[in-house]
Amino acid sequence: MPDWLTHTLVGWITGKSIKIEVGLVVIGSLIPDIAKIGTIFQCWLGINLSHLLEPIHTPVGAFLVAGIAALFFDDIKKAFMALSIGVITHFILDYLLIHSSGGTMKLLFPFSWSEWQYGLVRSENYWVTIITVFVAVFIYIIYNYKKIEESKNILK
Amino acid sequence: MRNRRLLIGSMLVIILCLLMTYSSLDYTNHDPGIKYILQNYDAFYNTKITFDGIVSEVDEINHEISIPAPERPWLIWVKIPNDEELPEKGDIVEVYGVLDGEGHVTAVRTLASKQWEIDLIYFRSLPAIPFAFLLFFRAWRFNLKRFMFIRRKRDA
Repeated sequence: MPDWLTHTLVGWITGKSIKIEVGLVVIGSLIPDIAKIGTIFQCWLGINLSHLLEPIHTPVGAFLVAGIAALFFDDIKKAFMALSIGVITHFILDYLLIHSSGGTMKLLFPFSWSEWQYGLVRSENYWVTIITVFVAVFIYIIYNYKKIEESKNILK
Repeated sequence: MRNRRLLIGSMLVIILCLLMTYSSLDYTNHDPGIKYILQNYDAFYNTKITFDGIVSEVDEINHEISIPAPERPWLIWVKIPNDEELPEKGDIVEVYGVLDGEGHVTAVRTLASKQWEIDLIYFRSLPAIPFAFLLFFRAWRFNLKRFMFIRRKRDA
Protein backbone atom coordinates (compact mmCIF):
# COMPACT_ATOMS: atom_id res chain seq x y z
CA MET A 1 0.00 0.00 0.00
CA PRO A 2 1.13 3.56 -0.49
CA ASP A 3 1.03 5.42 2.82
CA TRP A 4 -2.29 6.77 4.09
CA LEU A 5 -1.16 10.37 3.58
CA THR A 6 -0.91 9.73 -0.18
CA HIS A 7 -4.28 7.96 -0.17
CA THR A 8 -6.05 10.76 1.73
CA LEU A 9 -4.40 13.54 -0.29
CA VAL A 10 -5.30 11.88 -3.60
CA GLY A 11 -8.85 11.51 -2.23
CA TRP A 12 -8.84 15.19 -1.28
CA ILE A 13 -7.47 16.25 -4.70
CA THR A 14 -10.10 14.11 -6.45
CA GLY A 15 -12.93 15.45 -4.27
CA LYS A 16 -11.87 19.06 -4.83
CA SER A 17 -11.32 18.57 -8.58
CA ILE A 18 -14.69 16.99 -9.31
CA LYS A 19 -16.48 19.10 -6.67
CA ILE A 20 -17.87 16.23 -4.66
CA GLU A 21 -18.09 15.91 -0.85
CA VAL A 22 -14.38 15.96 0.03
CA GLY A 23 -14.70 14.57 3.59
CA LEU A 24 -16.50 11.49 2.33
CA VAL A 25 -14.09 10.92 -0.57
CA VAL A 26 -11.17 11.05 1.88
CA ILE A 27 -12.87 8.59 4.26
CA GLY A 28 -13.66 6.38 1.25
CA SER A 29 -10.00 6.44 0.22
CA LEU A 30 -9.11 4.73 3.51
CA ILE A 31 -11.93 2.13 3.52
CA PRO A 32 -9.96 -0.70 1.81
CA ASP A 33 -7.20 -0.38 4.41
CA ILE A 34 -9.63 -1.25 7.22
CA ALA A 35 -8.26 -4.70 6.38
CA LYS A 36 -4.95 -3.55 7.88
CA ILE A 37 -6.53 -3.79 11.36
CA GLY A 38 -5.47 -7.41 11.01
CA THR A 39 -1.82 -6.29 11.17
CA ILE A 40 -2.46 -4.58 14.53
CA PHE A 41 -4.07 -7.76 15.90
CA GLN A 42 -1.15 -9.78 14.58
CA CYS A 43 1.49 -7.52 16.16
CA TRP A 44 -0.16 -6.97 19.54
CA LEU A 45 -2.14 -10.15 20.17
CA GLY A 46 -0.55 -12.65 17.81
CA ILE A 47 -3.92 -13.38 16.22
CA ASN A 48 -3.85 -13.63 12.44
CA LEU A 49 -7.00 -11.99 11.07
CA SER A 50 -5.49 -11.03 7.72
CA HIS A 51 -7.40 -13.61 5.67
CA LEU A 52 -10.66 -12.85 7.49
CA LEU A 53 -10.36 -9.13 6.77
CA GLU A 54 -8.78 -9.42 3.32
CA PRO A 55 -12.11 -9.17 1.41
CA ILE A 56 -12.38 -5.54 2.60
CA HIS A 57 -9.26 -4.89 0.51
CA THR A 58 -11.06 -6.08 -2.63
CA PRO A 59 -13.40 -3.92 -4.73
CA VAL A 60 -16.52 -5.94 -3.82
CA GLY A 61 -15.75 -5.85 -0.08
CA ALA A 62 -14.76 -2.17 -0.06
CA PHE A 63 -17.93 -1.15 -1.92
CA LEU A 64 -19.97 -3.20 0.56
CA VAL A 65 -18.36 -1.29 3.45
CA ALA A 66 -18.99 1.97 1.57
CA GLY A 67 -22.62 0.90 1.15
CA ILE A 68 -22.97 0.16 4.86
CA ALA A 69 -21.36 3.52 5.77
CA ALA A 70 -23.60 5.39 3.30
CA LEU A 71 -26.68 4.19 5.20
CA PHE A 72 -25.66 6.56 8.01
CA PHE A 73 -26.25 9.60 5.77
CA ASP A 74 -29.44 11.32 4.77
CA ASP A 75 -28.73 11.11 1.04
CA ILE A 76 -27.56 7.52 0.70
CA LYS A 77 -26.85 7.72 -3.03
CA LYS A 78 -24.69 10.84 -2.79
CA ALA A 79 -22.80 9.48 0.22
CA PHE A 80 -22.23 6.13 -1.50
CA MET A 81 -21.04 7.89 -4.64
CA ALA A 82 -18.52 10.02 -2.73
CA LEU A 83 -17.26 7.08 -0.63
CA SER A 84 -16.99 4.90 -3.75
CA ILE A 85 -14.91 7.52 -5.57
CA GLY A 86 -12.55 7.46 -2.57
CA VAL A 87 -12.43 3.66 -2.74
CA ILE A 88 -11.63 3.81 -6.48
CA THR A 89 -8.73 6.25 -5.90
CA HIS A 90 -7.37 3.82 -3.30
CA PHE A 91 -7.40 0.90 -5.72
CA ILE A 92 -5.91 2.96 -8.57
CA LEU A 93 -2.97 3.90 -6.31
CA ASP A 94 -2.52 0.36 -5.01
CA TYR A 95 -2.67 -0.98 -8.57
CA LEU A 96 0.50 0.94 -9.41
CA LEU A 97 2.60 -0.89 -6.81
CA ILE A 98 5.31 -3.46 -7.43
CA HIS A 99 5.31 -6.88 -5.76
CA SER A 100 7.71 -9.75 -6.32
CA SER A 101 4.89 -12.13 -7.32
CA GLY A 102 3.61 -9.66 -9.89
CA GLY A 103 0.51 -8.65 -7.94
CA THR A 104 -1.39 -8.92 -4.68
CA MET A 105 -4.69 -7.28 -5.60
CA LYS A 106 -7.60 -9.68 -5.88
CA LEU A 107 -9.66 -7.42 -8.10
CA LEU A 108 -12.29 -10.03 -9.00
CA PHE A 109 -12.71 -11.64 -5.57
CA PRO A 110 -14.90 -13.65 -4.76
CA PHE A 111 -15.25 -14.78 -8.38
CA SER A 112 -11.52 -15.18 -8.89
CA TRP A 113 -8.52 -15.28 -6.56
CA SER A 114 -6.18 -14.09 -9.32
CA GLU A 115 -3.96 -11.19 -8.35
CA TRP A 116 -3.00 -8.20 -10.43
CA GLN A 117 -0.85 -5.12 -10.14
CA TYR A 118 0.75 -2.79 -12.69
CA GLY A 119 4.17 -2.78 -11.02
CA LEU A 120 5.19 0.84 -11.46
CA VAL A 121 6.38 2.02 -8.02
CA ARG A 122 7.45 0.43 -4.77
CA SER A 123 5.29 1.02 -1.70
CA GLU A 124 8.22 2.54 0.23
CA ASN A 125 8.87 5.11 -2.53
CA TYR A 126 8.42 8.40 -0.67
CA TRP A 127 8.66 10.49 -3.85
CA VAL A 128 5.04 9.58 -4.58
CA THR A 129 4.07 11.17 -1.26
CA ILE A 130 6.21 14.27 -1.87
CA ILE A 131 4.74 14.81 -5.36
CA THR A 132 1.19 14.29 -4.01
CA VAL A 133 1.79 16.84 -1.22
CA PHE A 134 3.01 19.40 -3.79
CA VAL A 135 -0.01 18.78 -6.05
CA ALA A 136 -2.37 19.08 -3.05
CA VAL A 137 -0.76 22.36 -1.95
CA PHE A 138 -0.99 23.68 -5.52
CA ILE A 139 -4.69 22.80 -5.75
CA TYR A 140 -5.31 24.27 -2.28
CA ILE A 141 -3.74 27.59 -3.37
CA ILE A 142 -5.71 27.69 -6.63
CA TYR A 143 -8.94 26.80 -4.82
CA ASN A 144 -8.45 29.55 -2.23
CA TYR A 145 -7.35 32.08 -4.86
CA LYS A 146 -10.57 31.36 -6.80
CA LYS A 147 -12.59 31.72 -3.60
CA ILE A 148 -11.00 35.11 -2.82
CA GLU A 149 -11.59 36.31 -6.39
CA GLU A 150 -15.24 35.23 -6.21
CA SER A 151 -15.80 37.04 -2.90
CA LYS A 152 -14.12 40.18 -4.35
CA ASN A 153 -16.51 40.07 -7.33
CA ILE A 154 -19.49 39.73 -5.00
CA LEU A 155 -18.32 42.77 -2.99
CA LYS A 156 -17.98 44.81 -6.21
CA MET B 1 -37.54 4.52 5.88
CA ARG B 2 -35.48 3.58 8.94
CA ASN B 3 -36.61 -0.04 8.62
CA ARG B 4 -35.57 -0.04 4.98
CA ARG B 5 -32.10 1.22 5.94
CA LEU B 6 -31.88 -1.45 8.62
CA LEU B 7 -32.90 -4.14 6.15
CA ILE B 8 -30.40 -3.01 3.48
CA GLY B 9 -27.68 -2.62 6.13
CA SER B 10 -28.30 -6.10 7.52
CA MET B 11 -28.15 -7.58 4.03
CA LEU B 12 -24.88 -5.82 3.24
CA VAL B 13 -23.35 -6.89 6.59
CA ILE B 14 -24.42 -10.50 5.98
CA ILE B 15 -22.89 -10.49 2.47
CA LEU B 16 -19.67 -8.99 3.84
CA CYS B 17 -19.53 -11.58 6.64
CA LEU B 18 -20.06 -14.37 4.07
CA LEU B 19 -17.17 -13.01 1.97
CA MET B 20 -14.94 -12.82 5.05
CA THR B 21 -15.85 -16.37 6.08
CA TYR B 22 -15.21 -17.65 2.55
CA SER B 23 -11.83 -15.92 2.48
CA SER B 24 -10.71 -17.22 5.86
CA LEU B 25 -11.85 -20.79 5.12
CA ASP B 26 -10.60 -21.13 1.56
CA TYR B 27 -7.42 -19.03 1.40
CA THR B 28 -5.16 -22.07 1.79
CA ASN B 29 -6.36 -23.30 -1.61
CA HIS B 30 -5.58 -20.03 -3.37
CA ASP B 31 -3.22 -17.86 -1.35
CA PRO B 32 -1.49 -20.01 1.29
CA GLY B 33 0.82 -18.51 3.89
CA ILE B 34 4.36 -19.80 4.45
CA LYS B 35 3.31 -21.69 7.62
CA TYR B 36 0.71 -23.69 5.68
CA ILE B 37 3.16 -24.25 2.81
CA LEU B 38 5.81 -25.69 5.15
CA GLN B 39 3.26 -27.83 6.96
CA ASN B 40 2.19 -29.27 3.60
CA TYR B 41 5.62 -29.38 2.00
CA ASP B 42 4.85 -32.30 -0.36
CA ALA B 43 1.88 -30.51 -1.90
CA PHE B 44 3.95 -27.40 -2.65
CA TYR B 45 7.22 -29.06 -3.69
CA ASN B 46 8.40 -27.65 -7.04
CA THR B 47 5.68 -25.02 -7.16
CA LYS B 48 6.01 -21.26 -7.13
CA ILE B 49 5.38 -19.71 -3.75
CA THR B 50 5.53 -16.24 -2.34
CA PHE B 51 6.43 -15.15 1.18
CA ASP B 52 8.27 -12.45 3.03
CA GLY B 53 10.51 -12.10 6.04
CA ILE B 54 13.59 -10.54 7.58
CA VAL B 55 17.01 -11.63 6.34
CA SER B 56 18.86 -13.36 9.17
CA GLU B 57 21.99 -14.54 7.32
CA VAL B 58 23.71 -13.78 4.04
CA ASP B 59 25.83 -16.31 2.16
CA GLU B 60 27.75 -14.28 -0.40
CA ILE B 61 29.56 -17.30 -1.87
CA ASN B 62 26.36 -19.13 -2.86
CA HIS B 63 24.40 -15.91 -3.40
CA GLU B 64 21.83 -17.02 -0.84
CA ILE B 65 20.02 -15.51 2.12
CA SER B 66 18.19 -17.14 5.00
CA ILE B 67 14.80 -16.09 6.34
CA PRO B 68 13.38 -17.42 9.64
CA ALA B 69 10.20 -19.49 9.15
CA PRO B 70 7.27 -19.99 11.54
CA GLU B 71 7.39 -23.78 11.01
CA ARG B 72 9.99 -26.55 10.70
CA PRO B 73 12.73 -26.34 9.38
CA TRP B 74 12.53 -22.85 11.00
CA LEU B 75 14.86 -21.38 8.38
CA ILE B 76 14.41 -21.00 4.64
CA TRP B 77 17.44 -20.53 2.42
CA VAL B 78 16.67 -18.48 -0.65
CA LYS B 79 18.85 -18.55 -3.75
CA ILE B 80 18.83 -15.02 -5.10
CA PRO B 81 18.92 -14.65 -8.93
CA ASN B 82 22.39 -13.72 -10.15
CA ASP B 83 21.17 -10.52 -11.80
CA GLU B 84 19.79 -9.28 -8.47
CA GLU B 85 21.77 -7.68 -5.68
CA LEU B 86 22.11 -9.62 -2.43
CA PRO B 87 20.00 -8.10 0.35
CA GLU B 88 21.74 -7.25 3.62
CA LYS B 89 21.16 -8.78 7.03
CA GLY B 90 18.07 -7.18 8.61
CA ASP B 91 16.46 -6.24 5.27
CA ILE B 92 12.82 -7.13 4.72
CA VAL B 93 12.52 -9.33 1.66
CA GLU B 94 9.55 -10.36 -0.44
CA VAL B 95 10.35 -13.61 -2.26
CA TYR B 96 8.67 -15.17 -5.27
CA GLY B 97 10.25 -18.45 -6.25
CA VAL B 98 10.20 -22.22 -6.53
CA LEU B 99 10.19 -24.37 -3.41
CA ASP B 100 12.79 -26.90 -4.54
CA GLY B 101 13.87 -28.45 -1.27
CA GLU B 102 12.92 -28.67 2.39
CA GLY B 103 13.73 -25.17 3.55
CA HIS B 104 15.08 -24.07 0.18
CA VAL B 105 13.61 -21.73 -2.40
CA THR B 106 15.14 -20.65 -5.70
CA ALA B 107 13.88 -17.15 -6.16
CA VAL B 108 12.53 -15.95 -9.48
CA ARG B 109 12.23 -12.41 -8.21
CA THR B 110 12.83 -10.70 -4.87
CA LEU B 111 12.13 -7.26 -3.49
CA ALA B 112 14.25 -6.08 -0.59
CA SER B 113 13.52 -3.08 1.61
CA LYS B 114 15.34 -1.53 4.52
CA GLN B 115 13.57 -1.57 7.88
CA TRP B 116 13.61 2.24 8.01
CA GLU B 117 11.85 2.43 4.64
CA ILE B 118 9.01 0.29 5.97
CA ASP B 119 8.87 2.29 9.22
CA LEU B 120 8.70 5.47 7.14
CA ILE B 121 5.51 4.22 5.45
CA TYR B 122 3.83 3.96 8.88
CA PHE B 123 5.30 7.29 9.94
CA ARG B 124 3.97 8.97 6.77
CA SER B 125 0.57 7.39 7.39
CA LEU B 126 0.14 8.92 10.85
CA PRO B 127 -0.86 12.47 9.77
CA ALA B 128 -3.54 11.01 7.50
CA ILE B 129 -5.75 9.92 10.41
CA PRO B 130 -6.29 13.39 11.97
CA PHE B 131 -6.41 14.87 8.43
CA ALA B 132 -9.25 12.54 7.40
CA PHE B 133 -11.16 13.03 10.66
CA LEU B 134 -10.73 16.82 10.49
CA LEU B 135 -12.03 17.00 6.92
CA PHE B 136 -14.93 14.72 7.69
CA PHE B 137 -16.07 16.15 11.03
CA ARG B 138 -15.67 19.72 9.77
CA ALA B 139 -18.49 18.96 7.37
CA TRP B 140 -20.50 16.37 9.30
CA ARG B 141 -21.67 15.72 12.84
CA PHE B 142 -23.36 12.65 14.23
CA ASN B 143 -26.97 13.10 15.32
CA LEU B 144 -27.75 10.46 17.94
CA LYS B 145 -31.49 11.06 17.74
CA ARG B 146 -31.66 10.37 13.99
CA PHE B 147 -28.67 7.99 14.23
CA MET B 148 -27.02 9.45 11.16
CA PHE B 149 -24.50 12.07 10.09
CA ILE B 150 -25.93 15.54 9.51
CA ARG B 151 -24.20 18.18 7.40
CA ARG B 152 -22.80 21.08 9.43
CA LYS B 153 -22.76 23.62 6.62
CA ARG B 154 -23.28 23.58 2.87
CA ASP B 155 -19.86 24.70 1.70
CA ALA B 156 -17.69 22.45 3.82
